[in-house]
Amino acid sequence: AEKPADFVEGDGKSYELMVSTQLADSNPYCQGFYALAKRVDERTGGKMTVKVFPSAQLGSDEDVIEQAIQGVNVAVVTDAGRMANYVKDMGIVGMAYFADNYDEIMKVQQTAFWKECVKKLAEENGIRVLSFNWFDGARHFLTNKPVRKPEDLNGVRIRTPGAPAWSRSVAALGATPVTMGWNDVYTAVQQKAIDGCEAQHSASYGLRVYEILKYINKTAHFQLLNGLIVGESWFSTLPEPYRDLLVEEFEKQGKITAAEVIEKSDVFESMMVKEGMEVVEVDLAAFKKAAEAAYEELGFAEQRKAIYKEIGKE
Amino acid sequence: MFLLVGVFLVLLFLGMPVAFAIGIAGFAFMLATPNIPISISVQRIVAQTQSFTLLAIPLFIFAGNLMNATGITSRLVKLSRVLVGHMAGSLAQVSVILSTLMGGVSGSANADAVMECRILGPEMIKQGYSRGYGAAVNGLTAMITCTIPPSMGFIIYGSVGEISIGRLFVGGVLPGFLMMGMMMFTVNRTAKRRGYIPTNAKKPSAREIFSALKENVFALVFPVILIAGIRFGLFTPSEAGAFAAGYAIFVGGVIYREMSWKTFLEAVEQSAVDIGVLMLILGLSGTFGYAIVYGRVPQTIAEFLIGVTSNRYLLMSLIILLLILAGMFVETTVCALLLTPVFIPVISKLGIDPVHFGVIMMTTLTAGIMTPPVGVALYSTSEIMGCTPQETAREAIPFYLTLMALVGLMVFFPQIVLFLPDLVFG
Amino acid sequence: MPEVLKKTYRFICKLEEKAISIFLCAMTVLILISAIGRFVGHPINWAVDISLLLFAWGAFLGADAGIRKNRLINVDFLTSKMPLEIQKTIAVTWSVVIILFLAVLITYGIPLCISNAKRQFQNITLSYSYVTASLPVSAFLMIISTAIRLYRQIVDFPSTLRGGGTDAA
Ligand code: NA
Ligand code: NA
Repeated sequence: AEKPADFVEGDGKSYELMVSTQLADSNPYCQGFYALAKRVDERTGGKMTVKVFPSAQLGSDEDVIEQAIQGVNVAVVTDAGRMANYVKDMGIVGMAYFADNYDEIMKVQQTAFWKECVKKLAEENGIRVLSFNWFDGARHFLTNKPVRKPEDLNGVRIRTPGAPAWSRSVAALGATPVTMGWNDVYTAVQQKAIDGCEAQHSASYGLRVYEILKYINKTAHFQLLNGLIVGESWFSTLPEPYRDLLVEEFEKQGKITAAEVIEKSDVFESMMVKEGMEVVEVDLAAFKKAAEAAYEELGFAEQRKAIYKEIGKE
Repeated sequence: MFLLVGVFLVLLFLGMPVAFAIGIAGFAFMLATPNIPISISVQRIVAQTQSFTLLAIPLFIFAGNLMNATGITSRLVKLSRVLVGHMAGSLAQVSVILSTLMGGVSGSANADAVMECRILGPEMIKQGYSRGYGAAVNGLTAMITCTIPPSMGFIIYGSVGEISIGRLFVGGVLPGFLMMGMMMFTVNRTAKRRGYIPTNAKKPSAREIFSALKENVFALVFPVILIAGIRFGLFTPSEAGAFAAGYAIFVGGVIYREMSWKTFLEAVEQSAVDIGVLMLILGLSGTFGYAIVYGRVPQTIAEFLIGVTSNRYLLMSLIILLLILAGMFVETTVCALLLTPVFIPVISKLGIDPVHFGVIMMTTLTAGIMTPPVGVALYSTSEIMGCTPQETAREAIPFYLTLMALVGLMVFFPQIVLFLPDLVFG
Repeated sequence: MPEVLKKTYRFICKLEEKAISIFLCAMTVLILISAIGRFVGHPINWAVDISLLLFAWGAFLGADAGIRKNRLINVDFLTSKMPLEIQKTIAVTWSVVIILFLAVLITYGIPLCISNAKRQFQNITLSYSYVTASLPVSAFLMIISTAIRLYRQIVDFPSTLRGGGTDAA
């Protein structure tokens, strides 16, 4: 077969990368990985294969991050909150109302602050960031009674992921955070073990929350940013052209998938409305003000000011 | 792949403890794969204990041992005798009813089979039952126990396959009662032919039944409390075991007052070892499971199976045949751990409900504890009854056939399984 | 074995059994409380993390107790038909293999504990190393239990077969 114009020459050896995620195969991320795998395969003449392992087949995210650090040929979908275990400062990106949209987060990634974090991950923790521009949309509260202001969330048990950035933020916004697996949410709501959840539209639609919850309260409190990371020890065994290729392709696909997600988000919302859910517009200023408490509590207030200054916000 | 399965089978059949056979096979695969560092085997073993759904297993084992210490068991035996003591082969009928009643408080077929051989066995022999028949009846009717909720098998299937354990529990109710009816029929036929007599002269009066039921009310309402608690969000299935344990302590310590501090401690220590033995298998299977995923075994088998036929009944029969074979040779827990991730993608592609399939799969697999050549309960029941496993297996043939008939019914009439979960959970 | 060592070992075994029992009861109570807490609107999110930590320790220490009490299941329909001498050789070989395997788990488990010190539990500030440590520690105890069993297999073979076993402690 003819080599494509952007063919990348390696060292003649074959390499394989597994991509692990908790997300289901049908998620746009996985579709993105398949597209990426195809391009990488073409551009290396089959010398570099990328295999996708959806639905946590290789273990929980924490387990697979550990596998990557230990040297397994695996890339993991992760978020800034988890990376905060390694470089504490990164947690700020996962806080409520840190950024208003995807473009703003992309600006943050150009700052010296962020570049320093990425460097610390690699040098002190053996974690190499391939790209941190994967975006799954804004998260909203989904409940059975309308939420317009933080007080409406008082005593409402909301499922949220466990990392402190998430649960403290959700608590600051007025709700009672409950940690449990995402897959347990459907039955937990149905059985009234919890009163609702907070999630991005793609996940909400995927879980068919419209069958059990009534209101989409458009708080957009988190902008769900994800990164793809690999272990430094495996990454360093690759010939340099392949290293560059992976970074390039994950960056590129991250952008493509983010655009798709943003577009699809509205589609998911209208489909959920069609299934009987109601959209509630909230008092954003009140929620943003409530979120301040979490920044104070986790010691991120000063840092946020510095980052905002650098990107020219407020 | 061949290394993995090869090492496992060699170690298994040459008598290596099952837990280590499975762990070392997975470890061998990791050793032979350059990209997997050895430390990952440690991680995978430890990770097996870090699942909130699997927490239900130690808790239900604990609850089961506590229930035995409360005196619930002996009361249920009495109730069973009142209910079916007048029928032909009454002791065998008692075994069927007792397994059904025990089903509501115990989640393990093995434990039930052993317990019933100990309690009913001596009397069966005294009344002239053949020892093999006694072992077969007590062993195979114990399948009812693990079909009626709670059930250890459903917990494993549900947590490995990420299927609602609540739905699985409720899904087992009708098949459990159907199994009871079919087993009673088989006992009736076999016992009459052998001339096994009733122990009670006449049918129980309504009064007798009522007073026996009254004495057992705490055991009888328990499964109802369990399902209601899950349904109305008091607890999740993973937490239900803790409630079961709490309930047993309450009934044994406060209501019946039969559980002393000493019997409580005995139950705790007994549970600790039971859990350890089972968790060693579950834990060490972590290396094996990782090897299977890394080697993409589920996808390969799924593609193969779907390539063979796309007729759902044919494919179901093929899978059931594989399950029977697997259950004959490999321990039930191990089968469930290894095969659930293999078959769920296949049946999902065919549009078969995973709860429906789960009940069929676990019924088929669990029967393996009573089949030669490898069957934990086959050996233990035969040992207690004092006969050879061959005798037991021969006497068990009508009961195997009964179970297969039930599995066949469930395949063709999914509503047997799905009617109640749909009703309860919507 | 010197008397002091025997006494120490028996003490450790007692301690182990007490610990497992306490862990099991604590797990039960924690889960009960957290379910009730969530139901009344005060979820105790750390209860699950602590239960899982106790579960890991209880499970692997319990496995050691299981080995010591000769409770491990194995398949013997092939081996039981072989001459006793061969059965003995196989049993001894497996014990040695198991000890080696456990030793590998310790050798690689300890560095893993150190390297995952930064990994945190979901809801509490507690290093995941405390979970990982359950395996190497228990594996060490399992090696002792298996070694004692190995000794019995060598000096007093048929008694270690299924059903004939006694508590190793
Ligand atoms: Na029975
Ligand atoms: Na049961």
